[in-house]
Amino acid sequence: MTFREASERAVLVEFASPWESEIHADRVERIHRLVALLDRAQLAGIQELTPAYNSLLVEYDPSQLSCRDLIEHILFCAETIVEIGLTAHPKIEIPVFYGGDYGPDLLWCAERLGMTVSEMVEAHCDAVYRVAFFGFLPGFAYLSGWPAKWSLPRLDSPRTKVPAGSVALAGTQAGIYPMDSPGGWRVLGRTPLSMIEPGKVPFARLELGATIRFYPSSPSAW
Amino acid sequence: MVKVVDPGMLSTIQDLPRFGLARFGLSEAGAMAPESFREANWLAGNDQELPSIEVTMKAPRLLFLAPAIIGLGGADFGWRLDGKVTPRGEGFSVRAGAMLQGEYCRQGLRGYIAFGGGLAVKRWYGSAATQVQAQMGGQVLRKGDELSWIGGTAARRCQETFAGPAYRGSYKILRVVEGPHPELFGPEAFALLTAGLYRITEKSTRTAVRLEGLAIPCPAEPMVSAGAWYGAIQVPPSGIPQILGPDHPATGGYPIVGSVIAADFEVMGQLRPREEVRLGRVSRETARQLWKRQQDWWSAR
Repeated sequence: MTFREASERAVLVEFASPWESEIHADRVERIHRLVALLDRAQLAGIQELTPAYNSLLVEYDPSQLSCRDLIEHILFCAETIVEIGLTAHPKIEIPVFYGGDYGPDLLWCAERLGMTVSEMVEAHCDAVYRVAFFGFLPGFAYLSGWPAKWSLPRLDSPRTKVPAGSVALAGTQAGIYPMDSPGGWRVLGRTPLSMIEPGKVPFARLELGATIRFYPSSPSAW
Repeated sequence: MVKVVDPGMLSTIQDLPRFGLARFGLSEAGAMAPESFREANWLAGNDQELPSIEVTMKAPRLLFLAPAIIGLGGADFGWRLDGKVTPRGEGFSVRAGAMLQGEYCRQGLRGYIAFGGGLAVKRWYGSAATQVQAQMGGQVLRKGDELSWIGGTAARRCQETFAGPAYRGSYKILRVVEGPHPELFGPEAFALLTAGLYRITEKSTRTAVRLEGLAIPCPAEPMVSAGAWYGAIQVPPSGIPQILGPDHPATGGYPIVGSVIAADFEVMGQLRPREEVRLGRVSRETARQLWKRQQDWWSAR
């Protein structure tokens, strides 16, 4: 664990170098545990926690908390990181309408990986995904779990509008667009479930550490 | 109640920031000129910052359907109440049937209309702030919207005029501290960043203040996404830095060379397109003292 002062009011806790692009499930798990521990301790002055693959950003109010005390507190929490029992992560099943207008890149991805379309759908549904962190858009979860041997490149030029609910892959990451947005990921299909419900608590359907599975469905079932 | 006759260019409900949702990908939002937001609330007689209207570039036109106490803070929009120029530096009462309007702002970019007791709007996760980029929380005002307020007791008048630093000089200064990875950029990067003038572009929003000027040599190797923050100065592959605002993406992959200090968020929020700004280096310790001084100044009032 390395501490870097990111600004006069933020500390970046790094669990690996900022270039380390390989995703390690145990590292992601440790970051989630640190978030849970800091939540539990409720130290006054901590304002925001932003986890990512390799790091946790901790923002604080320097008029309430010194940087040194904050780092000491994080170290103290980290000592018990392996002991903490996390509340069970939810398992969430996501229906997907694969291909056609819903999944304009399904055929391309299947061909690229030397699969038939139904093999591609099967592979996508067989993988077990975990929510690593959120970003890009509110409610957009970066899902790890797509096998590295099937890593897929992003589009050469991003689409100006990817519809809400689009289920997509990029590299070894999976994701679901929570709202209409520009985007460069390969879209395999679309889910009728909404990923965000503005105004509600919690507003996001997914959460850190949740296990995600996809299953094929059709619009007539909805 | 107050009726929005014309929303102006971009008028939104703002409040203190909504922390705690970055882990779901939503940044804090909140007033982008936080000192002006405080000023408006103080003038309206509020002892703390309460939900108010943030006005950008062009004034809205508001018809009051009931009497109110209001405070106007921030940029000079040439406010008029029923055609008469409103007093500067004091809160005032508005009678039912009065029309508040203004023009394009002359100096600065953002102003606030605060109401005695604050706007009666739904708080979501503890704040009524609008995250404009995501259209979540709060409200972007549209023609015909009606807003009500809680109701306050008495307006205030200020002896010393606030709004000093944001309007001084032919160019403005934003003080910056070094970022988390100085070794990534090499020793010249920060010197370059603080050497010349940067011009604010028209593409600036609450998500990011976009600049034109000297390119910063940018690390070639792509970085893994990490948490981003309000004030962070990102360097995209073009080398032209951009400064994240309160509606920033929660995480990002661009390297961060430094940060505008929180004590200068007011100055940053008042920068107009085509205006020039200089970035000046301070230590993190100085930045914290400046922040504390700003907090103390307000608590002493």
